[in-house]
Amino acid sequence: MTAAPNPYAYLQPFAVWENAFTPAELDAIVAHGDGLKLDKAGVIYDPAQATDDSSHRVTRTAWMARAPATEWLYDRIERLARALNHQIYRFDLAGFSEAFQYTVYHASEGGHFGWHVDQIPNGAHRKLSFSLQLSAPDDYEGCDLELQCGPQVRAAPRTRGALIAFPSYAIHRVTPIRSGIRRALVIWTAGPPFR
Amino acid sequence: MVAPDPFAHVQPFQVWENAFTPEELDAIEAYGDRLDLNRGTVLSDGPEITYDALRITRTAIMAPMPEIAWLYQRIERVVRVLNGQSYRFDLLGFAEPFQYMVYRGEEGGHFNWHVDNGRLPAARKLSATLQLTDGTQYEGCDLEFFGTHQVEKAPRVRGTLAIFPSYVLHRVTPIRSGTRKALVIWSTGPNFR
Repeated sequence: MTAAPNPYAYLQPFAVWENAFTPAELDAIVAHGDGLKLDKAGVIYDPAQATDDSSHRVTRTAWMARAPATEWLYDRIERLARALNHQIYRFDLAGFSEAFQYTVYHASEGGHFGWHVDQIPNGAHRKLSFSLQLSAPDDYEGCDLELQCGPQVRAAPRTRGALIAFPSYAIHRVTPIRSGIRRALVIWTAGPPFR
Repeated sequence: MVAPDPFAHVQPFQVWENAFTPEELDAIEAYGDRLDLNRGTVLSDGPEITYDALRITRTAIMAPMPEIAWLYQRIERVVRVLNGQSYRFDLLGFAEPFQYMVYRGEEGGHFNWHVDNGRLPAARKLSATLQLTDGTQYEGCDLEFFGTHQVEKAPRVRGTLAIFPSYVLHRVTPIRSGTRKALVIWSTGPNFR
């Protein structure tokens, strides 16, 4: 018998699933990601706006598509996303709207991502966002995933293997990286618009 | 008739101008000023607290008494239209009474960053603020939204209704002089899904 779920857990800035993957599995995700072609990421505020705005975001990203080599990863993330959604959010989700995004922040190029929400115009209705920590906390300085839903900014855990979930409407950022390299896997689930 | 924007909900807030005539606004203000104003509370993890760093606001509950049934009806119509055009949220009504809010320059009125959804029996889903004082009558005290990559200010024109999903981070900046009055409305319903 487990404790009754907290009906207000969805009001927390984020939810965390620790040890979502073994170290060997995390190594495999990083090896696969590092083998992809990494591009400088853009930002979407407004379809009319230029997408290259380095004052807002400096990140290297690659799409990690669903493929035989990543099928296990998609299956696992789907199970984790379903469980977190069922325990905490209870959103109507239809699935992954986009391929997973492998993201790399390099101190040598001042990696960061300014405040933003994941809901975007003219795209999928992203509803629940996830970030999987692929680097160990002492691999880098700075580069915290931060969320704000009150007077104080709250930092997500840096633990390797932690899967962090938050509603896609929540405002968040990645602070500038001061040393080292941080890798993360970003996942969006989508569905019919919030109602 | 303009087709509704299917992505309007991605905007931090929407505005309805001239929701009331000046005489109607005067009547709302006169009614509110007769109510007993208390210090505003904040929703937190523990018991409700009053905490100057978070909030300095005088508030009064404006319950749906017969004299202001017209106000409830009008606000309901406006919320229905805006919800139908933009948000399409499942709303059941106003589980909480409207709140009359007063920010006073002499007491440093403000309300720090917060969201409106909290540990409440009925989820707040769509929040609205009706500007009762014109922006020329006070300094500071801007209603600001942080719903995209930048902070945006709500219009200060008297009679403007600003509406926003209750999960959008917002604040009222410190008032430097004068007094600002506003009516705050929460539409409630089942949790977002």
